[in-house]
Amino acid sequence: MKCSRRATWNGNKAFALAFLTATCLSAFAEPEAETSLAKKVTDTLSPAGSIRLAWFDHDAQFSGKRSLLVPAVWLSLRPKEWAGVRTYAEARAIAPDLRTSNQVLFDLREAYAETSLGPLDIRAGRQVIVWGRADKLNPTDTLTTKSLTLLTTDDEEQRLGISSLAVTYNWNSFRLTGVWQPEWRQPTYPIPPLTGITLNETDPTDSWQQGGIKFDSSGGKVDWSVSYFNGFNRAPDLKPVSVSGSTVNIALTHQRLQVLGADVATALGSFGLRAEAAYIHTVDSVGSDPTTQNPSFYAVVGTEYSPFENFTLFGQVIYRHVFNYVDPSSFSDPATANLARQVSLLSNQLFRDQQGFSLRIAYKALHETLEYELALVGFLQGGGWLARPKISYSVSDSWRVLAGAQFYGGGEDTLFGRLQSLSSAFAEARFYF
Amino acid sequence: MDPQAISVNIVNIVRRAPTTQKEQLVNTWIKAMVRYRRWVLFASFVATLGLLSQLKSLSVIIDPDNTLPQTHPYIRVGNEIEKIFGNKFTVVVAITAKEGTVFQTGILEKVQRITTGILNSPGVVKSNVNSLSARKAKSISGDAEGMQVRQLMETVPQTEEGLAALRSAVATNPVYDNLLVSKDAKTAQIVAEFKRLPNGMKEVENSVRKLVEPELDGTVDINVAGQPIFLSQLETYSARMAFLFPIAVLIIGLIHFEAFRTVQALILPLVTALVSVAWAVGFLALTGQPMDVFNASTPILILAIAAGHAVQILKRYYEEFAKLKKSSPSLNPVEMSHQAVVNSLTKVGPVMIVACTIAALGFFSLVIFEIKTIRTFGVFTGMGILSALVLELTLIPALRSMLPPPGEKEYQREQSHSFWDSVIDWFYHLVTQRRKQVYISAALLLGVLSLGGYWLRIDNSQKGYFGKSIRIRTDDDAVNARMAGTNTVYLLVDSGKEDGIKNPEVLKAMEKVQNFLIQDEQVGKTVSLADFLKRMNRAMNADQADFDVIPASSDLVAQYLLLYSNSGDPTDFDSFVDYGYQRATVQAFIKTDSSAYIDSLIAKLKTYAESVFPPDVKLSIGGGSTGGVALNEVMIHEKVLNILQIMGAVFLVSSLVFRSALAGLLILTPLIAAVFVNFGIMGLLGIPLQIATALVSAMAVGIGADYGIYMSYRLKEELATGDDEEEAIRRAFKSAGKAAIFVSTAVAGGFGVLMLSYGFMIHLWMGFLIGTAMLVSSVSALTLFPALIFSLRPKFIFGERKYTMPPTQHKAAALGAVLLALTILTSPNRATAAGTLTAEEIAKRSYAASRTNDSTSESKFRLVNANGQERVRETNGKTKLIKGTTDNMRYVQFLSPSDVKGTKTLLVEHTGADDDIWIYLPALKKTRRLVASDKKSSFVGTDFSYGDVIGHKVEDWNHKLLKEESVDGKPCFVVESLPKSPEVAQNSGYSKRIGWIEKESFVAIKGEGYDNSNALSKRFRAQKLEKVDAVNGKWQPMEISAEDVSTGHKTIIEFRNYKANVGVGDEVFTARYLERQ
Repeated sequence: MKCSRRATWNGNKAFALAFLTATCLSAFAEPEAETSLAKKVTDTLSPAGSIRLAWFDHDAQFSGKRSLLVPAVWLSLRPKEWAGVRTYAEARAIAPDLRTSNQVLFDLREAYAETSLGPLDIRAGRQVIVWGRADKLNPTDTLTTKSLTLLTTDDEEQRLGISSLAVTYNWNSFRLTGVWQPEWRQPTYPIPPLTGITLNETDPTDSWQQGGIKFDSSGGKVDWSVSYFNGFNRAPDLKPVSVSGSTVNIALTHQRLQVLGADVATALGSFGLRAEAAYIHTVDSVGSDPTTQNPSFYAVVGTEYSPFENFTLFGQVIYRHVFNYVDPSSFSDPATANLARQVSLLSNQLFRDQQGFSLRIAYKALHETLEYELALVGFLQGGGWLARPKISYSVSDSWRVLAGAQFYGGGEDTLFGRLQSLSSAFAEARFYF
Repeated sequence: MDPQAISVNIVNIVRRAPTTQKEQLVNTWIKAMVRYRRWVLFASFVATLGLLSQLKSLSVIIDPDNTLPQTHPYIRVGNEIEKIFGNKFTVVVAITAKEGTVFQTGILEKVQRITTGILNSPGVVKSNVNSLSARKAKSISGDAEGMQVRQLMETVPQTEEGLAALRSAVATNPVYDNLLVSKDAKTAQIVAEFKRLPNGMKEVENSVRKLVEPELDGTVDINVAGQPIFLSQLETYSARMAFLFPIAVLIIGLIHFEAFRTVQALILPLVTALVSVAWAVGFLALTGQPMDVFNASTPILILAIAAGHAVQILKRYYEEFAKLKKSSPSLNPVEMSHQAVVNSLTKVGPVMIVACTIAALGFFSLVIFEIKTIRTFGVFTGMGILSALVLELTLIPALRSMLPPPGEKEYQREQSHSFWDSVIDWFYHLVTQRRKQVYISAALLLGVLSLGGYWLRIDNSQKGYFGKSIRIRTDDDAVNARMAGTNTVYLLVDSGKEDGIKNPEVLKAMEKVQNFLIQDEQVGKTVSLADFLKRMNRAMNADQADFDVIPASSDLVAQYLLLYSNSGDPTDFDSFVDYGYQRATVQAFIKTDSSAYIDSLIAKLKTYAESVFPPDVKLSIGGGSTGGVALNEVMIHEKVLNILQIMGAVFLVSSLVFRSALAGLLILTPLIAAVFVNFGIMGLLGIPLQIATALVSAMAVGIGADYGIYMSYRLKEELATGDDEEEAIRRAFKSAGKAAIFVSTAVAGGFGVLMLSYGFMIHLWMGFLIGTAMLVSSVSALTLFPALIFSLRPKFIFGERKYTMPPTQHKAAALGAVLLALTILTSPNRATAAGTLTAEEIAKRSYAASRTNDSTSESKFRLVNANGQERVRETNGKTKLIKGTTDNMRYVQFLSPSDVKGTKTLLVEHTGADDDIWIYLPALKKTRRLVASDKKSSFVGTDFSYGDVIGHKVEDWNHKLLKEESVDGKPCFVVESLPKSPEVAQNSGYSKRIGWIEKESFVAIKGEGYDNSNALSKRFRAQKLEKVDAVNGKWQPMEISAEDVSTGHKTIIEFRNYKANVGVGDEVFTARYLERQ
């Protein structure tokens, strides 16, 4: 299987060069020199970032590539507040495979301005908006797009910023936020090659008509929110478009969905409690279309516990119910059954009811310079699982090294099981500036 | 209970004793008002009726020119021209053939019918009606017998030949070209002069339109234009105020209702405002000042000012009621209400008297102006303000004391935090914490608006009062495009002697002037006696073109005129020359009424005319559209002077009242801001400075001072309570500031409805500019004004208070978290002598030694391992004590190193319960609640534990004074603290703590912590002590350190820019603040 279009920006080396130059200037400037240009730039723009060199044993796109060297430069700017307007920009340049390709992926991840007018906060521009109080698995996290094929050592960095206008009205501990997202950015999913099928990415029509609203309370004993999102499903449906010879052309289609969600978090001594749930309404409300995801209910409930200093344990149970579920294998037409199966796999809807768990163990030692983390996710139905151990050490304020791995396992007919061949070890050195 | 008895009780139980003589006087007065409320109500009613009865003697000036000094050259010349030549207001009716030319029988009949009709219309100057069918439109031609003068069209030609002859006659008399018939012959025009009618120009327009409408049969377009039509439409559109004003009043009431949610708020401020307007009109009649059209909008100003005072008092009334409810819950609600009426006016009354006096004197000072309308404006507004003052001190307290007291809901509403409170909080924080930004914003605004001011143009196009698609504009545009122009300017030529005009030199000069004028593209036509004489000369010379010149001698001129009079009418030249041929006019028709253009044209014309006429000829310019120019010039000039004078008066009186010139200057701030912003916005938006907009700016001056005065007095009053300065200022904002916002929003919102007056730019501008002026006045009274006050700390507000206000801008903030950190080390107060203190008391003082109400600081953490390798973390932070507790809220933002830059934490302590902790991680892009760490856990990887940071509660430990000894030469108490329970030991990680508590500051400058195996685990030091709160005796070490004895790892924290009691707002300690960039 191949994708007909890349979601990432590729090329414009001049721009990338300029970006790298700016980064290097920031990284190696001598800010102590009071009169230097670098000092002035540093004071005005407050640049920060990192230069990284990572190694991945395997790529995340089923290309079969092994032992990839992935250099990257991250740069963020926080210019001085001016006339009550605060701005922030974050960009990165990543070469996904330095050894065999000269491709550089450049991404302006965030670039926004924000201001406050009394109780009103307004933030406009490209930004990453993350919703949800559960740990890592967030049913209400519908406002960001992820590039799951991007090689990063921190999965949060796979998020892509989207041009949005977010307006929040604050009233004591309550916040009412409205978000409008006029931009659509294509997410990328690792999809294994399928014989006789060509996948083509398509943008939704009227992609500017996306938005959400959230009513949130933070600051009391219990933090909670209710939210609603009306936009496009980040996980694609598979729509057959045409047949050319023995190849079926499938469009990766992002259809409208509505998500009504809520979350809550509180702390009881050394215990923290978190819960998050969402009802996800898709266009195939009756479940009659095998190529479209069905409405579902998705909930995550868990706790975190700190039994001793700098050690934290996060445990969560996951539940998902698919409404009007139809077993993909029940379709008599093999092609339809296959499509239905792929759609279910992509959206983790292969079972009517699915239970699972997540566990994360984090420990910090040596004055927080050494950090261990192990994350596990598993599902009872189908037995798919993910394990992600990671260890990092801050050699100094500027240097950090880390190593880890990402293992997938389970049956072929599970979300994680079919990613087994993407299991990979990784290591990275970072220079912060 | 008998209400009278209640009021007696009230009088007897004044709990808030007035503190000044003024307050005592007002207090006594208000008590009387409450006691005799029915009599007061009756007296007010009688007074209102009495003043309204004066309206019959109010004289009203309708003609705007009549309000001007008649000595203005344009007006004087205009009056002279009107007297001699009859020209005043010109109506033009343009009839355009849809097909072919106007030389069609049907169309010419229309011209004739309309002309005849106009001649019979009210107010018409019959001798000055001109059209193809008018008697004065003569054809001058020549033949073998000499000059022939015939009426151009005595009867409408019915044959082609007749029509052709008429067309030929028009062509041979160029004086009618573009005046009676357009160059393309498609349009014929009727020009008629009217005198002003006593009831306005509506009658003129109606009569003309009545004549025109039957003629609109599809064969022609007819456009009606000219000054009378404009004035008539102005009357029509201005009449919209009759329904817009009540809507505005209603909206003002509703916004007040929203703000207070009480019927009282809906009604009482409007009662004050409307009765003030009524009284002011009555007083105006009593003083014999005439009312005029320019003062039609003055009630808006009075309404705004009166409502402003009323809302200040109303707000205070609710505050006083709430206070009484808390302090004297046993009081009967009615008694409580009466008490609140007395208390509120006792406090606000003197302020109101000052504010009203200042404003009224400012307006009354305008009586020295020569212009009637300015005098009226001054007296009218001054009276309105004084009326509001009297009513608020008489009728309103009486009325309020008769109304039911606020119910529980109203009370709760007053106590609750509303949207308005959030707005006020925002202003408060802006002024107290971001003063630099206030100044920068004001400077930027000043810069931008100065640019606007630079672009501000003074131009009064009367046609511009209407939208481009409005009929009067489209008609006017059409007539100007097709014909000579609908506006006129006259050059009055006075030869100084009878028959002087017959002098060929004078006539030639008139011709030259005409040729000069016609070169200007906006001048469509010029007409004078010279045109006729040239035509006569040519006619007398066999119509040869060579003789189309001024006759060579005076005698010849006289002979021609004699010949003309044989066939023409004696009044034919009445509009061009006087009876004795001493004075004549050159009339120019212009296509625009822009005063700026006309002004420049007049200047050019004057220079040129003086250069071509013989020196003994007297020249002057005026009449026609120059009246508008004069009006504009005088009004704007006078209005600007009027603004300056009111400002001067406000400055003078404020300075006297506050006994400080600085006070006078500061109170001018909102007022200047309002005027400046108005002028700037006008420049930026291209709104010209003309009569209507100048009026609004003059109004803005009247509004601006009050907010500043109320804020000043309230600040002074609250600061005088001796309470915490921050709280005092906050209260002033919540009270006087909030009231200012209520009233400005209400008036701006109310008069915003004027912007719905489609097509009428005067209302649109007025709605927009009044709204802007109101909001700018109040916003500047809540930003720039207090910012200046806090920066300058003038004595007239602060007296001798020594507290320092927050700095202009907090650079970062304190690593609050660790500030107190060293409760293990810190100790308190200014007390000294040790002998009298127990160990527990010393520990308590030490615990409180660095606990300030709030603080901000920057800090640098240096984490050094046993090998000397160092890591650095920089932070800024803020702390604030939770009201009524010793628990702190702590906000910390990491500035470096890069991997943690942007990370922010918020910790809220809870005595006896788990602390709440949130963290914002930039990588996650969201705020997470964390589980509460136990007290012994390391604080962000340092050698300090959370317990060291937050503080170990004194009562959880047993304290013992071991000895007294010096550390670094400073005498200290050495106090040992042992946990009272194993849980305390377990939770803190210490089995024993020893502190060396410095005697002067009570800060523990040295400490030791022992682990649960009783081994020394940590050493602490605190150095570079600074007294950060001199009043409360709080000290802060600027460098603290902790060393892990077992590993040799050490953390040193250095503080910079530590500031205590700077007014850190509660909003800092919210998730919202964490997520800000």
